Amino acid sequence: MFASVWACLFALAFWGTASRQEEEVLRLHRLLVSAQNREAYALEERLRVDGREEVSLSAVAQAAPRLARVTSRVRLTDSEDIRFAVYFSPEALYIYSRNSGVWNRAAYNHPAAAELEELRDPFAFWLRMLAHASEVRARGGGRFEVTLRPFRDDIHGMHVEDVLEANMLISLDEGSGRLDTLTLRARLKPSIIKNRQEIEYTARVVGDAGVPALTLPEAAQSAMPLP
Amino acid sequence: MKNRRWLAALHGIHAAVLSVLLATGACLYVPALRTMFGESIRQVRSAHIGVGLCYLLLLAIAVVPTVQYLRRDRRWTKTFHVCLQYLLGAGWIATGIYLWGNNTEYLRLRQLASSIHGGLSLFIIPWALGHIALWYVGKIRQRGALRGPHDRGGQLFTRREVLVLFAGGLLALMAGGLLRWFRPLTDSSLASLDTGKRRGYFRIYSMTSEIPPFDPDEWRLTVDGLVEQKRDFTFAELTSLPSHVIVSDFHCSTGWSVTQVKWKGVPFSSLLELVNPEAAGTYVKMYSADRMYTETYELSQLLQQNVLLAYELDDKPLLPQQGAPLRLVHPDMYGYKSIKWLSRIEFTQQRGLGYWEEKEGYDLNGYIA
Repeated sequence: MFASVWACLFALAFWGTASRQEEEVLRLHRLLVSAQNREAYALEERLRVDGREEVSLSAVAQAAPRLARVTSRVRLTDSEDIRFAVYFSPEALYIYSRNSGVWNRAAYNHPAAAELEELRDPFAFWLRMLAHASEVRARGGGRFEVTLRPFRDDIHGMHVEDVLEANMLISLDEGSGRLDTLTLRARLKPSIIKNRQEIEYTARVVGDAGVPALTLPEAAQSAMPLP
Repeated sequence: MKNRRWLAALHGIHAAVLSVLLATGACLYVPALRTMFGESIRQVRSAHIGVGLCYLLLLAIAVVPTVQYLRRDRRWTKTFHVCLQYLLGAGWIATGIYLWGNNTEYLRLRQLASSIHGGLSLFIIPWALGHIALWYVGKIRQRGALRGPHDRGGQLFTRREVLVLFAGGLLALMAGGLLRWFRPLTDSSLASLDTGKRRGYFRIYSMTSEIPPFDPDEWRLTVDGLVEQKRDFTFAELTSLPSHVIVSDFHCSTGWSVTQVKWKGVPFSSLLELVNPEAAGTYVKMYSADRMYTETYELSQLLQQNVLLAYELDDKPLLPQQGAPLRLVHPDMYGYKSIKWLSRIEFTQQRGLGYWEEKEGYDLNGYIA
């Protein structure tokens, strides 16, 4: 009889409480969701493959009037980059190619819009990564190291799979307790098809101060519809 | 004889201290009582904490005489009762201290501590009443008025068995809690992250017993002070402005939280272009229709899109006790900054103190740690 009482008490304590890891993940999840819910933010992102910068992005969003801009530079070759900017207004997307100087416009139901839409929600990727967490360690000073299980995902058009090991470093601003920097490092399985062994993806939250107000450039008004 | 008097005194002091804790705790927990005390609630809270610390001291002082007493009186019921009291005391003190610290980092532990603290308090009431009733029945039996058919002289358990039961129970609780605390992440715990499962429940606090009435035709939100254009918004005008929806956790500074709360309202920043605050109007004071509660802010703290003048909670209009028709919701601050029954917004040059900042020295900015 005593054993059944003890077993009940044990089960009550085990299932009724939470683990430290769960509490840490929950805290990080809340921070990311809070950041995701903000309609005004400024973010700098870098994607490096084997130490070489492949993609760099600058994202700025404002709430009133609602407008977001993402400027991107993607490495094509050692000497050539693709540079473009996407403006997300409530009624349409405006894409500016810096290489050709051409403006295009697309409705949100255009097939390309779905691909570009991901640029406007930078925190969605980090929330997806959190779901792959296997361990969370608080490093002190507002820093958290999250060990990730192998995953498959896309980072700005780069498909990532065959992950051997990966971790995520999350730094919080000690003053405000808000997100400061997110860094993903992953080591990939060697492959003769995809010649990449390590990727590093960093997102840094830039403060509101000094971010100029966004406006849709005049030239966008004469944008051609995206085919 | 001297020992018996000392034990009787300890017993009486324990009953008195426990009664004070239950009474003050009820005033803090039951919304109607909390409202009845109004401004005095801060003294009630301080008294509860102070008496709680005295209770800790009392339990420590009573250990030696209690053990000596149990060695003399070997009835298992006595041992059971004493062990239960110490277990309850440990539970209250541990959870009370955790809530006193008000750490919001580990949200589930905070909510669990709040539930345990309240749950143990609810448990002790019938237990204490039964304890008194049994004492009374025992007195009557001594006079020979009743002979209980099940009076076996306490042979159901031995005292040793009771001690083993409690010791094992405490170890089982600690083992279960510790094992869970150090458990690695599981798929099920990660899967629950995205479901947005609501945890916790609202406790309704107010400074007055009467909830301000809401007449849609008469109600106005006055925006004045250092603005170029003073306005009196009707409820229809406010709800016709572009709205925004947020889902956020709600944290009360007293220790309870509700997660995944959905609010709909007008971003505070939307009012700015309608009233044009003057350059000197860098602070904001908000007034509640209860004519008692106020809160103050830096204007810059209210400009984020997720700071709302909220009129819906979980897709329904605010209830009267929730602050209908309009309240502020600031998801980054404790609940005392999210003023209910909002009736006036004043832009000011100087920042004064809000209600709780003035009465109890609450943090002026109230950001959640």
